[in-house]
Amino acid sequence: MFKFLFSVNPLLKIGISLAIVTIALSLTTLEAVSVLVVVLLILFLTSIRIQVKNAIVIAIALTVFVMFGTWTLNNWQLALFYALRLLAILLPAPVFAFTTSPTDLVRALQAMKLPSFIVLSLMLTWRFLPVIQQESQRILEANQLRGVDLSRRPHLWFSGLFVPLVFRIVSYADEVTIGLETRGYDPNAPRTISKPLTWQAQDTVFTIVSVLVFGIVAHLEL
Amino acid sequence: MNELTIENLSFTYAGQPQPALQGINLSVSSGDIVLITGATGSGKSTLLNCLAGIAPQYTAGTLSGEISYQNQSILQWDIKTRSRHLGFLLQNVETQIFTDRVCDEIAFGLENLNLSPEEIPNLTDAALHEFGLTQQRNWTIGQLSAGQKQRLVIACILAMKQPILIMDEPFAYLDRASAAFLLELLKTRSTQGQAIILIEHRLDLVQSVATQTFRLQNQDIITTETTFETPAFSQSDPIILQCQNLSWGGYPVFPDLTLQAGETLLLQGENGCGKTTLLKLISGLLKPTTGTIELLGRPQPRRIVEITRSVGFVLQNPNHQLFAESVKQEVQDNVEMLTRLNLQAQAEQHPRSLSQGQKRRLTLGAVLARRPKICLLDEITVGQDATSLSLMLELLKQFTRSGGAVIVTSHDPQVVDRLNARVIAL
Repeated sequence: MFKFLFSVNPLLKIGISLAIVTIALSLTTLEAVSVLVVVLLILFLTSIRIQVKNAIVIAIALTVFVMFGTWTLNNWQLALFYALRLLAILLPAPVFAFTTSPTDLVRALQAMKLPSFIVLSLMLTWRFLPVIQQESQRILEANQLRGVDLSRRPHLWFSGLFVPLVFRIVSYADEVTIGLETRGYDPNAPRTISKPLTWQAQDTVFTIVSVLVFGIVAHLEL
Repeated sequence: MNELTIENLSFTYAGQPQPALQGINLSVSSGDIVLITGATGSGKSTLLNCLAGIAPQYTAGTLSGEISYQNQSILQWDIKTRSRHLGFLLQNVETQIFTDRVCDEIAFGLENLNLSPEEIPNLTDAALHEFGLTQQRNWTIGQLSAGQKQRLVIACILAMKQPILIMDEPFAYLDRASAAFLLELLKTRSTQGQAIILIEHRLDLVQSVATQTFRLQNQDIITTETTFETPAFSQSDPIILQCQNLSWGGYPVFPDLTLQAGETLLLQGENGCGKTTLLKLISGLLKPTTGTIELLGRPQPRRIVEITRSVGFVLQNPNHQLFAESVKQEVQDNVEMLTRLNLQAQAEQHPRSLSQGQKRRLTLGAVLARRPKICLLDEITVGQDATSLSLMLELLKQFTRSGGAVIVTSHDPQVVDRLNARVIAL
């Protein structure tokens, strides 16, 4: 696992991600978008552990996308270009999400002086997604333990999965609010930032490298 | 000086004719350790909810009486204001964790108190050191076991140093060493002037340090006579389970297990040593990295659904395991089972409306109703008072007498004797 991205300032990462998306939308040549995607893929694969199975599924999906595009557009280069542009737009989000801890994000947003309700809702959403995944996993397991294999019996999804999940989500919302308040979190009260966001060497490195990559992309484009 | 005073407190849940709490009077001064006990459903959690402000703010109902902190009424305060003076440990610690890294989690509470940034790293390190979590400092929360999480949240709460601590079953997932350690720590804190209120079922642990014990009475309390007869099993009983050379993930190789019909096994070990993991391997939820498992003399089937014909598993959290629309349906209309679990009065209710302890009993009933050959129970004593635990143990004993085998994990030493269990240390 490549730890560099984890230590980069989250605000800088958000800024660069937005820049990548904007650039990807305005690119017109295959070479330029390829360079961008290759760089993003390197970042993606070095900082996120992805299962081989999932990687194969994604690769197949993209191939199908390109083949379908070739069939409808009658131009494989254009189809490949669209596929790569799609990747360039989609990839920054997971790279950012997996390399930024929720605490760092909250600190960054606090430093930006965003209204506290936005910071709070973002933090809870961030925490909520893995919880939903974990809860579904546990409910599926509990079903299996009762001899019900939900993947083979879709007619039981409602009573076996959705009902308990909705129950869990509704009560989770209350539990988490209570939990948050019992930890002393008050959205309206002043709060320390124990690791203040500062501009560090790796941020400078990250900015310079990004600008270089953008330069290469722009050069290929023009 | 009286830190916390409860006067004539009553609470009635919305839509219930009977109050869940009635006429509670209690005063706690600094240095006290108050133990609150009572049967499952007697209102211990309701009392904590009233103190924390969860009831009536989040759970609808009517509250009467007075709660005051340093002679000042706190009934109008919301949860976050109360949390500045009273530290709360909730029963389900998962809901009190908000960050993804161990050290960040401790810092989170301190940041909320708006302490200066220079103080926080020192306080965080001190808390980690105090709770033996220094090695786990940079771990993600997901890597921790249930016991380690419990320890972490207790560390987080204690680090905030409120004058009063209110803890709902702090010892639930702790092994003996951690429990003894926490007990010592609480004693020290109380001599330093903190007032501590504990809700706990493991009376054997806490009673020695409590300066005051407060017993909540249940309206329809029942007493069951527990008989201690040794289930007869002999060498000739068929072998139900055999594990060899099992390992999974980063855990060291588990000891080999051989389980005969009618036998009871208790897995013991420190927090995070892989007790739950071993149960998951046996039930098929996890696939072993190395080693073999034989069920009823045949290799463990590949599909969990087939494994579950012979293996039943009662999970730590009952909320994941209840699916039916009524209590009766959960146990496949087995009324006798409900009577044995003292749930006959709730037969027509929705399982979600039961208390945590009742749910736990019901999941055991639901698992045994499917007539497995082996019953696995993770943390049997969590959320169980003596009466409720007795009911569960009785049911398990009857299960072993009829030829079933049981594997339980528990930190509570009394379970060993009462189930006549063979102890395996992990």
